[in-house]
Amino acid sequence: MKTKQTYKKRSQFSAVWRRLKKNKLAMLGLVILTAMILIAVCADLLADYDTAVIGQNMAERLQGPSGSHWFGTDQFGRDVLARIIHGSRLSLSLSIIAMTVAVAIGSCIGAVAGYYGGRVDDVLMRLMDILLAIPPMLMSISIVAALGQSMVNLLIALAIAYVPVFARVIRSTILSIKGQEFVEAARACGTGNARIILRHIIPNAIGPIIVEATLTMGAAILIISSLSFMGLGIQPPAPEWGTMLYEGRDVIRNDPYLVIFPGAAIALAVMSLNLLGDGLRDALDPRLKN
Amino acid sequence: MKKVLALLLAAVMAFSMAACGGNGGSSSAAAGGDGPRTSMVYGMSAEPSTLDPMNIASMNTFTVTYALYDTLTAPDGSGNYVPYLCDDVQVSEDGLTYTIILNKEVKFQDGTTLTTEDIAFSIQRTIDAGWAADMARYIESVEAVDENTVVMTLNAPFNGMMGSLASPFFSIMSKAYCEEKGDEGLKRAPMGTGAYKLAEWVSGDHITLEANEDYFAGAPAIKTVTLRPITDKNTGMIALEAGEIDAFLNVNPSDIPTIEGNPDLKLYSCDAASVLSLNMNVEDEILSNEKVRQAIFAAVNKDDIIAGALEGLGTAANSPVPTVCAGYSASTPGSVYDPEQARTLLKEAGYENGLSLTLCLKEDNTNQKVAQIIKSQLGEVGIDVTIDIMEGGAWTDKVYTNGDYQLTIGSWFSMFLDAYSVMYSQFHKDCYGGTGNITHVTTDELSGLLDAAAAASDSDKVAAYDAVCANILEHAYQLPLVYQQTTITTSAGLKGVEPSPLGVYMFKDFYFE
Amino acid sequence: MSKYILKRLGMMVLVVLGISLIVFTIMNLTPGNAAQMILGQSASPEQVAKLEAELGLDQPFFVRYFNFWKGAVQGDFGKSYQTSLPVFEEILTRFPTTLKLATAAMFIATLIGVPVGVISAVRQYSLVDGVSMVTAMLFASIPSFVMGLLLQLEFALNLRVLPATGAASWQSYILPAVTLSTATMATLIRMTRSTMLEAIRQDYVRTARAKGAAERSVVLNHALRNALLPIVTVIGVDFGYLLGGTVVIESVFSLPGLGTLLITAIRMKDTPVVMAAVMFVTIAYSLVNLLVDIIYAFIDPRVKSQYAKG
Repeated sequence: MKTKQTYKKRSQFSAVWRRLKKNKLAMLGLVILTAMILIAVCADLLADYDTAVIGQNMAERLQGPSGSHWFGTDQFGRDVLARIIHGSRLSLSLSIIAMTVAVAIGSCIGAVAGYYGGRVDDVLMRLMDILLAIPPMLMSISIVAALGQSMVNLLIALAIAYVPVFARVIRSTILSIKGQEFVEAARACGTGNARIILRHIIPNAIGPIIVEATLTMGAAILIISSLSFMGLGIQPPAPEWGTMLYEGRDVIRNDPYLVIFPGAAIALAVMSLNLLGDGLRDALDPRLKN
Repeated sequence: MKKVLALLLAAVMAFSMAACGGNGGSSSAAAGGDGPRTSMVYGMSAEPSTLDPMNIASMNTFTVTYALYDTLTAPDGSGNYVPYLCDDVQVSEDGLTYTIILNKEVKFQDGTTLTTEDIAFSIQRTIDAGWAADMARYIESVEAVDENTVVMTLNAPFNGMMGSLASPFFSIMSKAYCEEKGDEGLKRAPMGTGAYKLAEWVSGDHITLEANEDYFAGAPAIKTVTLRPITDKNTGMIALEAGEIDAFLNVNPSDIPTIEGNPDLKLYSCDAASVLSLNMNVEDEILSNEKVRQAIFAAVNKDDIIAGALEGLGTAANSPVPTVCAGYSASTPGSVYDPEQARTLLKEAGYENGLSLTLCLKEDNTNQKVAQIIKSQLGEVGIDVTIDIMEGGAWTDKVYTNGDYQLTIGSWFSMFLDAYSVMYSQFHKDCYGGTGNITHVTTDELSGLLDAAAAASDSDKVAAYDAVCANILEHAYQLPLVYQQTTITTSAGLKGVEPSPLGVYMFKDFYFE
Repeated sequence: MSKYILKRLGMMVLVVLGISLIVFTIMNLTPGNAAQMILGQSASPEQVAKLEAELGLDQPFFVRYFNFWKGAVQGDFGKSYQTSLPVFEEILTRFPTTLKLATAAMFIATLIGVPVGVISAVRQYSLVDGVSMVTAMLFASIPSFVMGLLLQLEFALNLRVLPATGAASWQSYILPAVTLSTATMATLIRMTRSTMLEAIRQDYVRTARAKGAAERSVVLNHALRNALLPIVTVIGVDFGYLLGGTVVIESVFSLPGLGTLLITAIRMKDTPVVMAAVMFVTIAYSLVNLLVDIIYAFIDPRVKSQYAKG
């Protein structure tokens, strides 16, 4: 039984992969994302943190893109490219952790609420409503003000902001799945609730979860950068992309490259995540099997 | 599917046509017509929360209240404070009695005549409000002795009194009106003798002032002033270029070349009445060591800060006194950049293996850049600085209320152009902590020097403040970094604009050609 | 149905109570002192203490929380610590700006997002699909202050057809609404595409096709109608975000909305304003979501029968 299952999973995976390969946009997203992860992992080989990323050189400040500095230098003469490379570490790791936490908590709550319905649903969803109704900025500023500005506190703020979004979307998907025949058939066979959720509901809700998870990762990158942009992000001189935008906004009209490059890095990361998520969704959809 | 596309296209077109149709309303500030314009739009950095100048210290409040209220004295253009709302102020030989002679021609905006009672009431209100404590502490009593004279008695000679009377805290109000409205009412419904009266205040959107045609010094040329809060500097710049506002303070330094190349705009600039400084908490275990503080003095290169964080807009500060304040001396020897000396001092202090400090600051784009440069420079000599950017309330709590910080960056803004206005609150032992002395210096020596400087005659003022500055710099309490510039950008047609170090502009002096 | 709506309204009261407690706690736990913030850094400790007493800040936490509700149930949300204006009035003057902005943005996003999503799904993997997805996502990931600035430079400075700042006329709302709409538009395009893809593969769509229904009718009447459920969810959720999350855009276009009021109040520890503003947004948002759920019932009979039961 056990061996059979592993075998089946592998074949499923290769089928998904085959379908995903056909999707050019998704592959583009995957390539960009892989490249970014590679860059993040090898950041230390590509640029030295102490000299290029945080080391200042006033003689070379605000130099436009050139052969020696491909993306130019900032107000402190730091190499923008080196900062973006090292910034990918921060953005990617923070958003992956935030997304995982939010997905895990959010989909559990959403699945339970949607599946059981009734009082459980009411209580959980009202709790989610409460969290959702508190403006994310209030939440983030408060957490950052109360606990101080740090990565962990940013993560807490992000997770709290995204758990309810997840719960809602998953719940609405569950609502439309649970009336379908195969779930009723399983119940008629006497399958337990937990098993129904795990074996029948969640696999069928995987599409929306993945779509939403990639969206969340992208959104997390955006929220981190907008918090940094409000001056409440990661402490300088850490090369966070949003902080780079914040520092570049003063000179945006004369040295737009200081905003364009980190902005493009954010856009690329967010876009590749979204493209990949959409592609995965198509590939994973059980109804798409021919 | 075609229909959907067609609908979409139609919607887009409808939008863009509507957009083109909206031409008329877009440039309210550039309205044409015969003769010179008589209305202007002024962009403020934030909306004031109150228009009672005695209950707050906020530049945006003062910008408006200087138009609504008058003060007994005013600067005459050559750095002296002279009588303005009164006929004369006579100071006794010993400097303890100020006799204020009423100007009988002055009327409030509600038609009543200004009386000596009103003047005595207003000064007393300031004393009671507890603001301006550094200035009001010298006033022993104030009394309307007859219909023409108010006598103000000081408890000690104070050479900044004439200047203090020109600060917004000493605005002159109507006693009857204040008693009728109460403190709460005055916040939103101000009424003074000023050149403008409040016509409308739409919360968050704009404040409209209308000319007081019966103003005692003549009706102003600009009849309507609309003040709009514009919190984003890029937005302020675009609003200036689009002609939506006529004046905006302190644009981003990098936009200055654009302004200079634009014939429709004009930029005025001067030194600000403040000093960007690195404050050190001398009660901190590490920073109580004078050698460490002196090492920090020697490790900071001010020119790099000006170039890197201020886009070159500013000059290296040699003294904790702003250049535009009476008492400033260009010959005060400022700190000298000498990293070798810094390392030696650290070694003498017993920190040859380096030390760690935390630099906390309020969220602010410029200060964040200054902090990064300081971090880098101190790092060069072996001081590892951690930057801790805090939300405004948390920062005030930490630095002012609790005083448990190590380093911070800030500027203390003077209320009138005298060294007293920046020095006393920051360094006198009576102002310890929350009141302004965040370096926590409590030496009798420095406080004594400050008291002496406040009492010095005009001719001795510079020498007296030189002694104060020498003490501060010798013991390295506070490192003056940069004299920042303050700018105002206006539409080119707006005349009568003089750059103001305090950032306060008198709309009554403005006119269009 | 009416029983259901009543029940939901009852729950809304619970939500509002929960939020008020959380927000009140947050405002009290975070560092910073309202009296100090009003008076400024240079205020003396005596002045701060005096003002704290005037504002009732020296009373214990639960007394203050109780007093807040005592006033609130009588329609009195107190006065702003900063401006001394009645909070409710202040919110009522600010809310229309935010509501107009959010509605306009939602309108633009839906008007463009849903049709583009449908087209993308119908022409899956085509050039139209690829281009529209990439464009939408790129627009959505441009930081709003950059997007706003670019629009201002182009439409207010170069073309001089739209005002760059303020809320003087309805034209003033066009640029901020377009800026605000991009993120929601991208979400809508992706959500529509994704649910449509699912819907057009369902049996009933196949059946409709088999019966010989025109392709357009199949897409619009059968597939889109069934795909609307998640789309409407997104609209509901995002509308709430738009109501509370317009801060950066309000600042870039200098619009007097609720977002700026709320952020200033948070930073100034102006608890009455924060409480009232958050509760106001919550109630508005809950009503929108209630509306969304009612719309659910109309577009999805399965959900309707559930309501009838419970």
